[in-house]
Amino acid sequence: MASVEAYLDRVCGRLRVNPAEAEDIREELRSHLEAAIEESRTRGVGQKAAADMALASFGSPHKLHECLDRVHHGDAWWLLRLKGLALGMVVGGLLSLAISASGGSGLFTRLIPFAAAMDSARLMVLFNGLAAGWLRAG
Amino acid sequence: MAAIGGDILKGNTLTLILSLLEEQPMYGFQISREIERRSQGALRFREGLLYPALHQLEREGLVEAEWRASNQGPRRKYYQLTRHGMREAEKLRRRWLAFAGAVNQVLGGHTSG
Repeated sequence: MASVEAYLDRVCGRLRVNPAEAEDIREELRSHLEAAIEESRTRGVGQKAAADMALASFGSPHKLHECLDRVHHGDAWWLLRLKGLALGMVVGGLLSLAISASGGSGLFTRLIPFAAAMDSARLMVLFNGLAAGWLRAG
Repeated sequence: MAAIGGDILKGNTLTLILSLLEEQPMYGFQISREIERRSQGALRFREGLLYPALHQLEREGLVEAEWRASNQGPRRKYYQLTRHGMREAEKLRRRWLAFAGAVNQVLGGHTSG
């Protein structure tokens, strides 16, 4: 079954999902491939030929990897970063405005004392990081 | 029967999957063999690509998945329609039958020449 495991490595190896989800996907694909191999074996096909046939019917590991990654992760990494950047700028900008409007002594800065000490650029960087992390986790 | 693949099959994969799951919960290998058997081998696709389709359906809330133990080997991941999936299956089937009926009407009388 070395060829099956090598195939699964190529499909699941760098999927951008959490480890439990990656293992779940791998187990499901392995279960299908093993069933297909067993089906051929009952028709008298040798183990290696049966594995080759099952993998050929499954299709390109590269294409399957791409499709699974798209379904489970959604956007490409650069689009995700762009979304994170946009959201971070909006949130950071609104915070900066709120701090300016309160003159550094309003309710807002009492709730988040450290905010008054930070300039708007740092706030944007902070919230960009938070937003990017949140989007990536989603 | 000659194999049918490409865009026609790709565009109707979800209809096929949802229609089969309307009958009973199934696992991926079972779905692929059932499509092949009922179409007498005419509908064949890269079996691996069934899984992104199933996972997409799961993410959209049309199916839900559950691992079940098997007497004949490793456990299997079964998919079954949600209520939303049942409505979608019915909608897709009606759409396909309307399309197929319209195409047949256009082709009528010219298929045996």
